[in-house]
Amino acid sequence: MKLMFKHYLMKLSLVIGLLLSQQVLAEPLKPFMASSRMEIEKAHQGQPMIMAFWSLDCTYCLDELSNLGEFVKKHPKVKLVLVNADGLITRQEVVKALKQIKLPATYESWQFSEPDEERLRYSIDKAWYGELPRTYYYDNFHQVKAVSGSSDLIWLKSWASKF
Amino acid sequence: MMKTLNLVSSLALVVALAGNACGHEGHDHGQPLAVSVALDAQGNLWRASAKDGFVVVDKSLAVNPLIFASPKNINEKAQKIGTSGDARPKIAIAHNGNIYLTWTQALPTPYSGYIWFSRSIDGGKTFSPPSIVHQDRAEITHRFDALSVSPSGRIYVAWVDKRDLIAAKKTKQAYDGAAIYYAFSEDAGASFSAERKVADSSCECCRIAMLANEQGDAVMMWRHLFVGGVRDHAMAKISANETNPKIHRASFGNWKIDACPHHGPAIAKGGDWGYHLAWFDGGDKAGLFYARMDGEAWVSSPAKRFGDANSQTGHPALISDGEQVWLAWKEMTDKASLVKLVKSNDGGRSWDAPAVISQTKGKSDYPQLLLKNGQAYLAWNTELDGLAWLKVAQ
Repeated sequence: MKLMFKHYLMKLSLVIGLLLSQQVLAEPLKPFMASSRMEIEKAHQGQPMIMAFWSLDCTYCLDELSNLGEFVKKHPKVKLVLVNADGLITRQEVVKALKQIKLPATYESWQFSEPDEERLRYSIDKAWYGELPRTYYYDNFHQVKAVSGSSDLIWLKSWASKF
Repeated sequence: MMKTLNLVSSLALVVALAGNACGHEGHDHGQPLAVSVALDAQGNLWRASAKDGFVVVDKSLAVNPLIFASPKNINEKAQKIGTSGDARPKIAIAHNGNIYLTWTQALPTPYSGYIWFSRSIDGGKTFSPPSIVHQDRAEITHRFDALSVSPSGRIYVAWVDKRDLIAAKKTKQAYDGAAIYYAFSEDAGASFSAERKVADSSCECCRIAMLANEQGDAVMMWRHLFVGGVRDHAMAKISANETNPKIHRASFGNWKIDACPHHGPAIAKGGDWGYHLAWFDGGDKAGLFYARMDGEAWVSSPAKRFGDANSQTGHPALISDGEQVWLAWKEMTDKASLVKLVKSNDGGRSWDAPAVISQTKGKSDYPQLLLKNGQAYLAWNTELDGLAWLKVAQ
């Protein structure tokens, strides 16, 4: 009986483990909708922020996120907001990809969650044509600089010297 | 106690299964809108699409436009079929009525894939078991298939390939971008040649535009990585006899960027002098451009801009018939997605004013133009209004 109880505990922990792993996977990605950009901007009003759009299908994106992660570790005042543009069907792949790169202890992670992703992109920024990575640098006053492609590290340093 | 244990085991199984279900390529956004269409000699419209992991081919009769019937699944087992960005299954119909299909299967390693081919030699009644076009079977990038069949029946398949990048990495050599490869078939798709390289350092994620011609050659255009990380377009003429095609620069926008634009070009035949080209260029001047390319001297005309700014102008389609040229593209407004069209009657030297020829409020695919009895038709797949199919300005 004692053995059985141990067995039971093992199974129970397996179930809890599985439930937790689902929880962990489900937790970090917030649904990014048409209103999300403004919501995020409001939440971080008065703070410098980097909003970085990326995709699993973009060969430059994970390196860029890694660089941004390192950068934010050195400049903890800057909030890091990642937005995956692949859509909900890739949720698990996205979580897995993010785990493989070094990101700071705190960052926000969102994922495109509107059925029409082109329109969502249009609602975020009419001048963004879908090239990735696409990154928006907000200073303290939320003056925004949009950058397509990998960011220039020298420019990034000068941008951060203000904070 | 046993009961509790069984319950616990079942629960564990359910949770595990739920996990697997999430990991599988789902379809919670509906079926992909990325389709290709082609006309046969009788004017019937054939469509290749992807549904639940299968490439599906169906057709609508010329007398019954847009009533699609007899869908056939082409691949035997479900695959993850490339339908996002510039990826889509392709269909081409030869003069003798043979129907050819290609598509990209996404493999588990990120950015990796195989290019598949299937054919029908009985007018679409049956399709051959699919085969992989390339001999290299490494789980690396072979993606963004392009398909074209010449009037004489030679089939060209081209794709974006990363074997050279991976080889360079192994020997710690620098290598920018991917490469363009192709294979051809002299026996109506029963077999394909060994693959050949067209160019090193292509862009990684943009469709290739390809046109097989009367001579049995094919002309292709792709987004290329020029010196300094500039992503302009290159062209080359490939043939069954030559193995070292010359690369010609076709656009000069100097868009310097380390990014995936997911936005490939379009080409059409330009009389006997060359080719019509259309492409998207990014950066400060972002938008859609057109030029003529001389097919002998390989010099392109100055780029002409089309489309409104800040309207997501892009994803061009081109078709020509003699001196008549039609150029269509996609734009977006706050309320709808549009297809705009311009026409030239003098081989692309001058153009009519652009006109909105179709619009939809929901999600939509990229536009395609086809020629039927000397008239241009738009095919545009939309989520809310189905496949738009209409004759455009004469």
